[in-house]
Amino acid sequence: MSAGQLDNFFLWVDAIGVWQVLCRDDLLIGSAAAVDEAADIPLLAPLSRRHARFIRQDDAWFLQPLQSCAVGGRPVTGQTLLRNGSEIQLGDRVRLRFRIPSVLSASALLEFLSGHQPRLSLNGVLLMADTLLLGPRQDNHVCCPAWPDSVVLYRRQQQLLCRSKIPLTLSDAPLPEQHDLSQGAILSGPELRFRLEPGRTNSAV
Amino acid sequence: MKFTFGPETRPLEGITIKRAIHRGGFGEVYYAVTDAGKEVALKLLHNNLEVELRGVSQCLNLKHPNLVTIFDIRQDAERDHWIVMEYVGGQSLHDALQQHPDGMPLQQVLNWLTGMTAGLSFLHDRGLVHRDLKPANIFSDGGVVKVGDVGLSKFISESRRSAQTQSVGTVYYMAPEVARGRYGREVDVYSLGIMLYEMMTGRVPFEGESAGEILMKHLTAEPDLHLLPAPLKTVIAASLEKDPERRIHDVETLQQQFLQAVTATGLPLQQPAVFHTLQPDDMFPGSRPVAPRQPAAGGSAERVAAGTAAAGAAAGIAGAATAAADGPQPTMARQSGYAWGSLLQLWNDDLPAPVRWMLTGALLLAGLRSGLLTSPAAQGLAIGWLAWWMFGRSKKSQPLTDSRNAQPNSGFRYDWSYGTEGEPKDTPKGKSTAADRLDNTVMMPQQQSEPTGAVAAGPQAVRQRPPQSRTAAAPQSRSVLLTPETVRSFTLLQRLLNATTSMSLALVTAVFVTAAVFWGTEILGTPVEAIYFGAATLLAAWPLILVSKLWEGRPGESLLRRLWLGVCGLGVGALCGVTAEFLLLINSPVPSQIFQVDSDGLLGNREAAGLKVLQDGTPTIVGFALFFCLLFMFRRWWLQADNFRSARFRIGSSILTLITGGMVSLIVPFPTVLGSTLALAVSVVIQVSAVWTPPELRNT
Repeated sequence: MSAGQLDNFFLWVDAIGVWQVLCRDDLLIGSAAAVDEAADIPLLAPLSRRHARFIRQDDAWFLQPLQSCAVGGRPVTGQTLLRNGSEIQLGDRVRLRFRIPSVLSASALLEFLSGHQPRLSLNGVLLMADTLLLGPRQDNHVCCPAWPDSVVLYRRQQQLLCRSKIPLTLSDAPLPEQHDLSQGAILSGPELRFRLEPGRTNSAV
Repeated sequence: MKFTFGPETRPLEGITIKRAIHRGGFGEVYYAVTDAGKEVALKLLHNNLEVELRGVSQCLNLKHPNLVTIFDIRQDAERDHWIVMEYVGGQSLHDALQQHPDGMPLQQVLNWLTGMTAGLSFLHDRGLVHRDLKPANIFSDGGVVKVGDVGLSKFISESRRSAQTQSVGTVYYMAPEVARGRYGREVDVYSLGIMLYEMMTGRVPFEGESAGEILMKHLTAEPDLHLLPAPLKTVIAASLEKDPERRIHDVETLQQQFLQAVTATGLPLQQPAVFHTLQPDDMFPGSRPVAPRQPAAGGSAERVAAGTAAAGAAAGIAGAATAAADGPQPTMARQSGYAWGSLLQLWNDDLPAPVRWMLTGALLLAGLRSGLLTSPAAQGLAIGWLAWWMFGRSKKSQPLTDSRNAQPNSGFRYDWSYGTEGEPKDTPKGKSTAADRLDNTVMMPQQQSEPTGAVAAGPQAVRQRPPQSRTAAAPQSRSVLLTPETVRSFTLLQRLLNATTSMSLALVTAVFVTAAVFWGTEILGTPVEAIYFGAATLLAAWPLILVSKLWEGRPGESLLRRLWLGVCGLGVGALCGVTAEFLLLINSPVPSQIFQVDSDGLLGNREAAGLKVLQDGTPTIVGFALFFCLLFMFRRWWLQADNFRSARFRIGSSILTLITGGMVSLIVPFPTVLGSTLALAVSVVIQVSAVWTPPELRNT
């Protein structure tokens, strides 16, 4: 297993949607470029290739603007703390909503407000700290209303692990304890199915 | 939900399924990506009917921006047929309706209608009829409305001849003549009429337990249109005619007439057309104007909160009277909601302001006198409540719209508890009820309906609060709600004038408040203590008013402001301590009873750098300084003094301040009763004295 795969994966949830999950503490957002793409979050949008960085320090996320950015309607030039619900504007047109859905985790969610998306439509980008919650509650990172209970994805020592009260299966066998998912996996349960797909960027799909 | 195909399967050459989207009446729908990276939707047709395919192939080359494009029809190795379609990313009308259970803002209705009409009239123009229009088939992708399942419906309907086998979701939108096998384009007009009704009211006109029952209603029952404003009644009635000959003939006419009717009602487009009444509105002639539950998309949070709260309060008396008459039995919780509503309405609308103020004062004094408000039990309750309030609040989130407002799995809660989830969060009750009045005056002068069902509607209405921007003070003419968040410009002179006016008034108010506490309660024993109480109140209120008026209308970070207030508090506390010493209330042979500290507090009697916070059972100057420092930091005082606060005086804000005072005296060793009473007095003085602009006179 290489660390690169753990960094970045797609989370496909049946009947719900798809999220890109990025695990590093310092993420570059910028325009999707045909060649020499630099951004971890490449958007099809009138942006610089390196437009801003999302930086996590402990449990707080900051926006480090490299080009014109605004947070909460106010232009920012230096590193700016992002709060739950902050609206981020990149350039003139791109608007994102920054959210920290759960009080239990520092993981954040970026939603696309202005319709500027990566090459593949995503429901959002998850900036994963240590844990991600998938489940029926509104404060889960990925809200799946029909699920009977929550599923927790968490990182430990370069491994991506999964925990839940739901009996999950991996290729028709019960999911083994402490099974590393960083290579990708399709997990099923009663009435639910989701898939972790390792990825580098959208273009790798 | 189980799906036949898993992620990464490739039933068709060159296309990889990534995830399942949903299972519809026609079969399973998947999101897939071609090898080149093109997103498509794949629809698997289980019932492999020849006719079905003929219908689709007829539509294969239709091109219209408001129709979901069909790319191809393919067959897999199992000889099952797949329709390869344009992937539409946005939400369906079905989802949108879920978000607006009480009807969506008219502007949104018009947006959906315009897109659907364009797509459908294109179809009709080519001699095709959709025949299976329903919210789950209509999508909005990046603001473009797209009608889906084009060409599929006819054959599905034929393949399931009897209504009994129809899925209920489809039957809601099915024209009566479909049962007799008639499929003109009036079928689509009828479905559109049903959807318009549903978009405006949040429910379909014909509901029932079974498909048969619903179908029977389509055939015989008249739609209940009393909810709709008169001009819209006519249009919807004409689109829901049982007889296709008498129905509006085409979708474009329906759209035009609908648009004219909306214009004729003169309703603002940012809100729904109807209010859920439990009784026909003509039973309440001349009902007073009320605010909407669901105001503009993109309006400020404050405004939405105001709207929901307003409807809740207005729901009051009429709701209580008619709840039982309405079909479903109201729950206990709902009934108590109505009771609250009546009480709130009585309080807000039926009592003149001076009476309200006197009652408030009397209540507060009675509370203080009985020790109820300052007792340890009350403090404990208050802490519990605060903890719940803070914790409960932080848990609310909502993936689609605004994270802070949704309430998962909540049972029924009354509106006003939601009304505060906008920016200034101090005072649930006071805030929203005030916002209610404000809404009536500022936003909705001509609204004529009676929103009695708002109580039931409240929670959901808030759940789908549109995404808000904290800076949203967009110039939306009269519908803008001006709040303390609103950025305003003052000249220095204006600021100083405001501050001095408020501070002079504070002098008078402080005298009254002190007098009330002195004669109304047993807290202050001697005139000297009363003088001290008044002086301390003023000493605290003045700087708070001053800084608030300096900050007014400026954007500023809450935390930073609290820190500054804390610094002010240190100074004020020291001054209060010195005054107490000067008046020989502490550090004297006969220290005053009011300063007897009952507990050591969390901090304890600790000596830091040789400074004691407690001496001989009374707080020292350091103790005073610490108490005021924390008291100043724990409240966002500037919101109580802002001239755009929702009401001049909000009792909830004062009570919260009182509780804060009590809590601080549990941390710092400071007399609890004096601490909380002082906090209350300061809050009352500030609110009553600080310059305030009534909502209807506000401008930036």
